[in-house]
Amino acid sequence: MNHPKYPVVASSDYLNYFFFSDGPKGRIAKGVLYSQIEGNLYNLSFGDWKGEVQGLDDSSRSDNKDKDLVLATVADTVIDFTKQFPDAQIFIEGSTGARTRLYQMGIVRNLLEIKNHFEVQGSINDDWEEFQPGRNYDAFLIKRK
Amino acid sequence: MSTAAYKKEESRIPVDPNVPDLSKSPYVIAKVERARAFLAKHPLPKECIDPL
Repeated sequence: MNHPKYPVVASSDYLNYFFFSDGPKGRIAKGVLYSQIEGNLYNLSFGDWKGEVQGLDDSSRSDNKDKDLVLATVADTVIDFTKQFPDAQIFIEGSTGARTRLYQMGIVRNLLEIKNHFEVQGSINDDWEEFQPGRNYDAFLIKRK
Repeated sequence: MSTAAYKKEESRIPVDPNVPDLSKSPYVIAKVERARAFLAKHPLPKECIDPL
């Protein structure tokens, strides 16, 4: 996907990704982690890197006016991770309902392009279905075609 | 899944040995537990379950 994005670096196992968001609030370190749940199923965690606790924190809203750039960068890590793990299925759920809706908007905005390379399922009303715009999903599952 | 998808492609993202291990974050541990609980309540569609 050819949207502008931040430069990213990865750990040697391609499970941890790291980049900096630049905006009016300054330079904010961001991390993305793919954690194995079982088999080929991985959870995506995303948040600000807090050096003082040496960990990710998703509770803060950095509001650095670069939402689209950040989302495109996270999407870039999905593409890269699934190059390394082509059979992986990625479970994505925002830490809050608002965060999940933000991810949903990102998927809708790029749906045609995403669907060229990925299968996307959404969880709604206790069931999974092929992702459709205009539905409010609780979580997503992404897999390379 | 197509055969091509099984070929591991080259990463465009450079490896940096200074990238921290994010897996120990309490937030991440809690989030993975939440994902497990969600998936226990909302099992994946049959076609998504790894046959292996």
